[in-house]
Amino acid sequence: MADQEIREVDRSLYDFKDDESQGFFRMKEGLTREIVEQISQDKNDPAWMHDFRLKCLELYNNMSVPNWGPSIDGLDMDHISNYVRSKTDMKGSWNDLPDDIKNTFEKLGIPQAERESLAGVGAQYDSELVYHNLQQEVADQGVVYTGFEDAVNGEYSEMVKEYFMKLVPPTDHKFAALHGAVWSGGSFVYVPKGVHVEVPLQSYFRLNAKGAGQFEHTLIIVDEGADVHFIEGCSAPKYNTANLHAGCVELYVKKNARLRYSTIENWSKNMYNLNTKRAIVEEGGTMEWVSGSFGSHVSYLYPTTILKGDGSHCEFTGITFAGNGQNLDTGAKMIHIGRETSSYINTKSISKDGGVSTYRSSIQIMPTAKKAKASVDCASLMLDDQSRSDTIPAMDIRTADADVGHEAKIGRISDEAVFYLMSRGISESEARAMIVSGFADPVSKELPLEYAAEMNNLIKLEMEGM
Amino acid sequence: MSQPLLQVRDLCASIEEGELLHHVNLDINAGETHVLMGPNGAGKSTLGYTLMGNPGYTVTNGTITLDGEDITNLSTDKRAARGMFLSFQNPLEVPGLSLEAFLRNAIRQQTGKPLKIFQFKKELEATMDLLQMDASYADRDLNVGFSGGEKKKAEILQLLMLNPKLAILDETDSGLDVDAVRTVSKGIEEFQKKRNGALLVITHSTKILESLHVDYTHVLVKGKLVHTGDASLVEEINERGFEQFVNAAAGK
Amino acid sequence: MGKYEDKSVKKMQLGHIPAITWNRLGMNAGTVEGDTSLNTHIETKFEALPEGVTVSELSYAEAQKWLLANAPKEEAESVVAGKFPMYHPQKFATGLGQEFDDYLKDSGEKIELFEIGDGITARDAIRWDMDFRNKNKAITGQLVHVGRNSSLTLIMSYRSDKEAEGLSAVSTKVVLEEGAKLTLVKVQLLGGGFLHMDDIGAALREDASMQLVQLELGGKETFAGLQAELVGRNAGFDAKVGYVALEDHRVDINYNVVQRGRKTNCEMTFDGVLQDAAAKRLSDTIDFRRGSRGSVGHEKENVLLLGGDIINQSLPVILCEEEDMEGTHGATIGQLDDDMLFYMASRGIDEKTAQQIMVRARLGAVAREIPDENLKTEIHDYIEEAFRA
Repeated sequence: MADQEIREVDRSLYDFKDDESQGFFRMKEGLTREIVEQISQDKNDPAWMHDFRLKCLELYNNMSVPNWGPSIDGLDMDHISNYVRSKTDMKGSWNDLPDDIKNTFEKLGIPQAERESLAGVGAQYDSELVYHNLQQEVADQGVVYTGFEDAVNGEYSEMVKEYFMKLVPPTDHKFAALHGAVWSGGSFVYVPKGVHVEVPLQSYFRLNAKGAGQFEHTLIIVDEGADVHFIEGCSAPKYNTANLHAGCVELYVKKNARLRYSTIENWSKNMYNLNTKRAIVEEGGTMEWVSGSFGSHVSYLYPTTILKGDGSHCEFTGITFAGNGQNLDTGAKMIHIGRETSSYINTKSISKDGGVSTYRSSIQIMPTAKKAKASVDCASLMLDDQSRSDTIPAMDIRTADADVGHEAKIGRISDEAVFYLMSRGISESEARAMIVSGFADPVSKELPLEYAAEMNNLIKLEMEGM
Repeated sequence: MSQPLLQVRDLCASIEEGELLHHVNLDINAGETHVLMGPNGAGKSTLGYTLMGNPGYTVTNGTITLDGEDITNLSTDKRAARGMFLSFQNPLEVPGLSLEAFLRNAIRQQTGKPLKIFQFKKELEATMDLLQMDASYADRDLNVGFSGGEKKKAEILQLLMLNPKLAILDETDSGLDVDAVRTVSKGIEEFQKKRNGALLVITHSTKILESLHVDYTHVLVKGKLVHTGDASLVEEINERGFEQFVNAAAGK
Repeated sequence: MGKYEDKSVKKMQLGHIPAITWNRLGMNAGTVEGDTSLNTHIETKFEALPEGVTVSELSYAEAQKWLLANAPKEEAESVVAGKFPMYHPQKFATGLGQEFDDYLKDSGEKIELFEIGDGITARDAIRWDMDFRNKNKAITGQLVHVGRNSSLTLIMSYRSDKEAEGLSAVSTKVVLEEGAKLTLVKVQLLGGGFLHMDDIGAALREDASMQLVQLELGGKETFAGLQAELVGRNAGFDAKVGYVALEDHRVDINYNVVQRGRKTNCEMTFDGVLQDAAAKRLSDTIDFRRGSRGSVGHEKENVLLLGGDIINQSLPVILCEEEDMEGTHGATIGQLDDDMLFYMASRGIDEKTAQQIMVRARLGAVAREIPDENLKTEIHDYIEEAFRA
């Protein structure tokens, strides 16, 4: 564990904001046909995308909000301007970026990350992709990594049309429909057959303007036998107005391909994070999710994996830390369709200072999924009696030829363990923080070093409030 | 003579269910080795916990003084920082926290200074070697999946790395095979002889005491220190049991 | 929520879970498919009740009044913090819920109140056998009140001919005073055409304990529900539940244990066997309320899948707003594992027989808890018959 070496992160770093009056273009606040038309025009949408947006708007207006999760009453859709973009165009190098944006990213540590020989950085500032860089060696392998608008209008437009919102149809739920209508920015990745990308591709998202929503779309296609790791990191400044994030991630893992998708989410504590993430895995393919949820006011987040191909496999590793004022409803869904498919979910939840964390999952084993195996292992930690922790795992098995196991545990930090550490001279708060970090260790182990360090810092910061 | 390292005066301690220690008095001077014996349930572990400040045990009367400072109301970590150490009978497992990271944290907190990593590593290696612990244990999660013997060795490793003034060893030899006892004893000997550390050894058997010089032996029965003698008392108890002390405590 | 297939026939929704999840999974409650009309009144005559036990009859309204007066007072929560409202909060909560209470009320049947005073240990069990004839459709309701430091065993069984059809509905509400002990056994051996609904609500005061053994072995469509409120300090609840669903039969179980008092204890195990086109839903919740310091709750589910396109739905929920507690859930759902089959084969036992042995072993382990030798034998024979190759 790189505990000592980790630089101290000042929480206030994440709570800055830019001078909003300059260089920004702001839409009317509600969501009308006019707004959607304008977004479409502004993006130079091809006709199919234009029509798609309008169809989604109609669906959005006719659907109701979910009745089973945390309350989103604080979200007033009529007063959220759905689209804010910076006037900055796409840039290929760091030096070309305007200073205020550069400052923002610098505070978030992006240049350092890039220096550490990362493959490509597609960083999104507000709703527009403003910074984009792909290392030459990765491009040479034929890997495509572009902003989503570019993909819609560029060389890969046919591919985008074939895959866009097919996995997450706008009919799926109200916020998927909203996303379809107003999506803006995001990433497109295509890894050709047999290509192994050695270094992770990274993208940073953040929300900045007051009342702004962010609806980035991520589409990743990993072709047969290819292998890639994509890292999505989020951080947002703090505002009092409710903020909404309704992004959409669609991942296609082809035959014998492997995709690892890692996220450490640290939205500011007023964010409504209603993100939809879904993957479909073909024969022999592997999908790996690593997911850390630390920020936002309310989260609904359940990355879904459809194990379509025979022998396909998915692993989900997640951690959720709900502190004061947070209601984080997170988990995963696995849908087994192919024969001998297998899935493994391993999650940790921590509740503190009145925070509510809910682990929610579903494992569905279809009649076709003979010899499927699924297992769930979820552990929750309660740090005080003002908080709440719920575990709601559903299993629906429709063939007798399946094997499903589930283990859930909830508990507290044992007094004896704290005493043991204290007897070696460690202070009580440090002892508790160490035990919580240890609890989170199975997740940090799955992350690249600098992300694991960042996550441990986040845990430390959250624990310090004690 | 200067003041004792540890001075326990008229100590009473309780848990929720009632009082477990009754008016215990005990002095331990620097470098001395004391043995604490007593039948099961006499309160030996309770005394160790109370001296170390386990919040589950409330001191209802009396004082504990270390190096002239009243530590009766001090938290456990502060007692450790002042040079006390307790080796646990059942060391706790902490998943996700490696033995090495744990030791680094503990040393840093005790000294309040940044750790000299190179020196630390060298010392850790040498100490693990002394205790015949495989180097891989440094990276393993603290006590998780350790056998009984490995856990006890890890306790002694911590003792030697933290280098306290007074170590309370609670049944450090229980459940160990002959070889493990020898190794653990070697570690304790190192602490006692080379570093002049004081010891309070809670034990049932003589095996661990063979290589140690014992200054005093105390007998605890039903929460009371009923008898104090020299090293020979250990032999006597092993031959004749606690009966005489139990009877004496019951006023027979 | 309530779905009407026809304006005149309301489909009952039973066994709502306290914190709902995705509606599209169809696991938030069970819907009764069968005809819920009634045509038979069951007479209860006990030749000899154990000493100290009295029986009296109450109307539904009187029974409700009795419960309000005698059950430990607990605020009826309508909302689980951070969640949407619970379904139909009842004054005295049960596993099948408000709609089943209404059904009982509308039947006009009297409620039998079994009472045992303070400090009495009933040596003999009350054994209540309900034998149904073909096409009998009946509902009964009981209140069970066990006084301070008293103990009582109540064994209820429902049976009919194997081919018979009909309806059997039971509502059992339990109030246990300080230190009271109740062993409640419910065994259902009904024919393959029966709709069976068995509802339990229990409230436990300090040091009270309840042991529940429930076996659902027959019937076409079975709903079993329990809500236990562990109100007093040290209250304990232990449930062993076994079920079998074959052919196109359905079993729907909703257990909800609310741990309120300090140092309460809950142990639940569910053992089931599914085969053919059988369907089962089990939702079981351990709910640690703020203040339940030092409480422990464990739940374990084992489902043996014997082949076919079964449907197994499992929803093991833990809700928690207390720091000082310990809760676990475990589920193992699958076929006999290969090691076990190999072991059996090495002793000359073929797969079919191995399955029978395992079914008997699993359900037998539940039946073993029943303090009545005759009933145990009957259960054993019933299982033998059902799984005869």
